[in-house]
Amino acid sequence: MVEFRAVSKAYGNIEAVEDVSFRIGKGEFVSLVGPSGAGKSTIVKLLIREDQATSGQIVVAGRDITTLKRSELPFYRRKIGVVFQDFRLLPNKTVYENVAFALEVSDAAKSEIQQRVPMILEMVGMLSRSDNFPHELSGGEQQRAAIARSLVHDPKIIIADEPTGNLDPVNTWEIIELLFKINQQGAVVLLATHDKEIVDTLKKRVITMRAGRIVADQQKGKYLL
Amino acid sequence: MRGVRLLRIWSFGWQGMRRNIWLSVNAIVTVALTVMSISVFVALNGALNETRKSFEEKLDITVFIKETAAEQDVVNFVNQISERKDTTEVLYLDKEKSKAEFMRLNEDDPELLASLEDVGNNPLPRYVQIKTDNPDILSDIDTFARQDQFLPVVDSTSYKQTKDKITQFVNFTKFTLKNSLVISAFFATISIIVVFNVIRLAIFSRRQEIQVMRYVGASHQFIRWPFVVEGTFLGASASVISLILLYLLALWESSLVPIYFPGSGINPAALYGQYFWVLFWSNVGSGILLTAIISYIAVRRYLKEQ
Repeated sequence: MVEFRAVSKAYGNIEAVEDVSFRIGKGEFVSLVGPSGAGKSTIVKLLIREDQATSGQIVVAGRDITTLKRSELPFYRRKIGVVFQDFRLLPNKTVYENVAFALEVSDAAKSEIQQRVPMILEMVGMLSRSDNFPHELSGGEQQRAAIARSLVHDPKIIIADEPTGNLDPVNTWEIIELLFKINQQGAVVLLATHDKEIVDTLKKRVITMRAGRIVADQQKGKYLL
Repeated sequence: MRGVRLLRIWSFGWQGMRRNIWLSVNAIVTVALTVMSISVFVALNGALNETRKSFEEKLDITVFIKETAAEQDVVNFVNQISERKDTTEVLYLDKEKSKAEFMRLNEDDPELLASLEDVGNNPLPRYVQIKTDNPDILSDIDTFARQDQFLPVVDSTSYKQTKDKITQFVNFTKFTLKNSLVISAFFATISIIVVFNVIRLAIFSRRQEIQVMRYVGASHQFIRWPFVVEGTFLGASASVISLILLYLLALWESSLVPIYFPGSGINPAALYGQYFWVLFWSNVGSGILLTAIISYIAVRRYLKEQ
């Protein structure tokens, strides 16, 4: 589903990611762990094509995304779901509108939007908050809304970059459970985190990074650092 | 599908303006004042032109006739002046008409009229009033009237008394009209820079929004056009406000003109009505076009990112 082949990314003289290779199969839940500056966020940025790899190949669903043209990026991004630490909801749209927006950009029909958005909001427990704006929500609620937005177009891959970084323990576990549920429904989940407790509890595959390199890749792994 | 997309772009643009109300108000006020300042300048230019025309229509030279001049010689002089193609009107007033005109012009000053009656005989001279629409011709007419052949007829002319003022005014209007293009270009440039920066700042403050739109897979067109539509809404609102402000200004000026320029015949409010559609289309057109183009350019910067 996702494959990194000898990928490197340099920012000037700094090698953020160096010769990284790994493969994620269908339906996997993978935690990408490591201390700050290990290269986790760079991997996420490369995967959503916010940044371009200096060398190597990144293959997603059979297509090398390093060769995507600028005009192809929107179509690629509609096939993946991304969740950020800082939620990144559109501040002047309601929860419903934020989720609907992900469908509207792909010219989805009104009837499809009216059917899917409430369903997804119900799934993440945010249906009652549909008409609220992001600033009227708690951190946990904002992250649920962000997850709903990432799910609404039914992506096969969910990339979560420190999704619990701004949340309290209760909300943290609710979000992790939600990601787990999404994974059980068949989507690949790549969770970039440095939260040891989460990783150790999940008992799923763990890719550990340090100084831009992969130092461990364990099935049912633990936080090693 | 294209219709659905257009509708969404349109509604996002409208939503963007409504929900970023303070940014929108700031942009609308700035654009309105900028468009209005251009309109005021154009209107002032027009008013100056009207004043010049009105002034030129009233340009005349009065030739006073000697008491001793024979009536036939005066008629001969009037005929020769009338044959000139550069005069628009030649009016001869004999002593009776001259007195009647004097009384008409001074009907509000009974003391002056009473003193005229006290004199007994009509002391007012005969004169010829010659009108032209070209201020440069006045000196020619003066020279013509002062020819030796008219020495028995012509006593004096009014040209000398008014020459300096006429020359000064004519030079001033010529200078202003000639420079209006440069001044217009200067004003327009400043306006574009001001509006550009206001819109750019408004879009800069929403750059994260643009980034989020890109993350969820919005195409460049889908991100850009709502901002352009929003820009057109801002421009249209600003233009309508500028038209209202301009009307209020014209009303206010209409009350001032009779005080500062009595007899000028200029009525800004009436001119506003007369040129309303020109003002409307130039304000709304330039307002919408300006904000739409600037929005298009300002968003482009954030679309260059991956």
